[in-house]
Amino acid sequence: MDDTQKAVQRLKQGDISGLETIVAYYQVRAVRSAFLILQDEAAAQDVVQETFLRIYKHIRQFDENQPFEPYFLKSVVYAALNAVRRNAKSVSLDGDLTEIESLLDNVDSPEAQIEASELSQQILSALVGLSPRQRAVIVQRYYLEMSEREMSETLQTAPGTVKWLLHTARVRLRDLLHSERSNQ
Amino acid sequence: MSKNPREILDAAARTRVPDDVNLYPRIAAQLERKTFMKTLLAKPALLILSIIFTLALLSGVVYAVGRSLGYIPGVGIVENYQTVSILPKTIAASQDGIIFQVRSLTADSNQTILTYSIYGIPLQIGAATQKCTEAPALQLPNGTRLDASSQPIGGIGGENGLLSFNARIVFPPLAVDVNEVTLLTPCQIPPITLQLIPAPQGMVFPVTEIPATYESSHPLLPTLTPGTPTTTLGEYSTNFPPTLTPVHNGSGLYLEEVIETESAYFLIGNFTDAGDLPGATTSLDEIPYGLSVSDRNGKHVPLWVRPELLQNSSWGNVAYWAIEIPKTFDAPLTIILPQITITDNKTFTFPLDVGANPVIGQTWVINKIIQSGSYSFLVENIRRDERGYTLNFHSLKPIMREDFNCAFQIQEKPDSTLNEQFHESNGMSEWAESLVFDDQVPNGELTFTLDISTGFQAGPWTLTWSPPAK
Repeated sequence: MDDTQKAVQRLKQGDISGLETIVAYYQVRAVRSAFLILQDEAAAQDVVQETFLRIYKHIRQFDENQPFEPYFLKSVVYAALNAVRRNAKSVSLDGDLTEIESLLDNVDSPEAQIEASELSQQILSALVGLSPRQRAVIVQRYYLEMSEREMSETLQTAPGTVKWLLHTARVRLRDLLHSERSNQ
Repeated sequence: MSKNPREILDAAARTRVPDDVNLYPRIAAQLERKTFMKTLLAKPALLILSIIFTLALLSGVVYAVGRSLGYIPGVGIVENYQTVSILPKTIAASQDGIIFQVRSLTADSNQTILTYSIYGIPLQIGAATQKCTEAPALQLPNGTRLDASSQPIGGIGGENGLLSFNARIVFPPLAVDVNEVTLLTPCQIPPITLQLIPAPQGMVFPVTEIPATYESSHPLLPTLTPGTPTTTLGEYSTNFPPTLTPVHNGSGLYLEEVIETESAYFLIGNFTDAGDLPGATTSLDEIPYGLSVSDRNGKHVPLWVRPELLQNSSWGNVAYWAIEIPKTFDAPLTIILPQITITDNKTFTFPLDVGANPVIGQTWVINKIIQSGSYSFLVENIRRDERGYTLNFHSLKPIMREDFNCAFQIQEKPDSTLNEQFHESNGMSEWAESLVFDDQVPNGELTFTLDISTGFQAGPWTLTWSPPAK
């Protein structure tokens, strides 16, 4: 049993120190995941804080025989998407679907060996051009390294739809990255 | 230095979210506040002392104040209901055809609740109208801006090219001497002045919290086959008998809170998908509206869904419900959720060597039965088309179109466009899934992949509750 599993067990027994361990272990990855979807640091922190509080509230219902990490990170992604819905800045979460993988697949290629900070900025700028749901699939697949089945459960959609969302997100992100580079 | 995709995204996010982010102080502060409030609820004597102490510290004046809960229909639960302030009537302002209507503003000792609607938002969302769905703010008479402590919760609707937006949002409490605030609206509508008056007698219903002890059931659910192609035709009943087996930390109906007024009970709970179901749940948002209630004799008990009492779940697997029922019933009450939709997702692969030069119209017979959920399908063949390949298959028993979703691709070359043709023949559903390639159509040894997602209904789910004996 690792530290987080022990922490979950302590939390279930009413020992709040378990929550502190869980927060310390997952907060950076969780806030970065939420940020990549929301593109807003403060909102990302709010979403993750809210998710931790909900975990605290509902920990009795969590089956400690199940792995905690995927359960928690799926909840963060869902909460981030929920926050987008609540803000309702875009009516459709799908956006105008019509590409990162090429970049992410070719990061070892010579042309991709560019300065790390420049690459980070390009990625962030390109992510802004995606719909929230497209950002969510990119984060889930490439940052949280979830399986398509796990993604389909979080997004409450069929695996085929996840494949399609991933495909369209990659296409759109690639276009945006090309556009970013040609403007430089 | 080369990096993998996760490291690249992590580096991008690190530019804005540093390694030393520390949420725990904020979380601990919020938990402390909640725990404190819980203690107050449980110990009225401590409550009075604590409030006297707090107010004395704040103002130098000692107040003798008790805390009591009240309910305002359409607004929700308020604290210290005897001192609640409200907006006496709805008020609206408009700009460029967009109407902002304040439906209610309710200030209690703990929070300020605003409910509002925005009508006439053009679908062609521009920079101005896009702001319409952002959170409004309050401005106090001394010019201080009060931002919401929650995000707006509501729904978007619309017709004739215009959107409307209903929302409920919560702000921090107003000081006791504040009886006028200015609403800073989104979407460039001029500020609206809101005058508050004490809530008239009879408008707020006093409520008390009572224990939420209950039993809930878990319907018998099918064990679905693993996600591999199979030649077995499985049949599952979707008419599951109710049982009274308590749900032990598993999926099912949960009751979290019961609030009592003079004439009614408010039952607040959730449906939790704990990951033990044979598939993924969908449409949990509709659960509050699918409930029914019956008494000891099976007689229907009227209920009213109370959206203002719904908790906003950030958990994709938890759907809250809140209902009001009149007190006139023979206990125990049974709350019934007739069914939920569970989807089963399966992936089937068909390795096929189409050769180096397949001809258009050439067909490869598959003739394999596959199963997803309680449905079986016969995959007939794969045909070479001018710009790609088409997979033909049909269901072996009727299936509602909305209970089925699929995706088809070639693993070696996933960048294709998918077209679907669907029609019904003799009660069976037939699909032709076509892959179209913009460039070279792949040949040789290919792996065709078909993802199938089917839905089935599982239920009923029941929860039995009795009011505590008086």
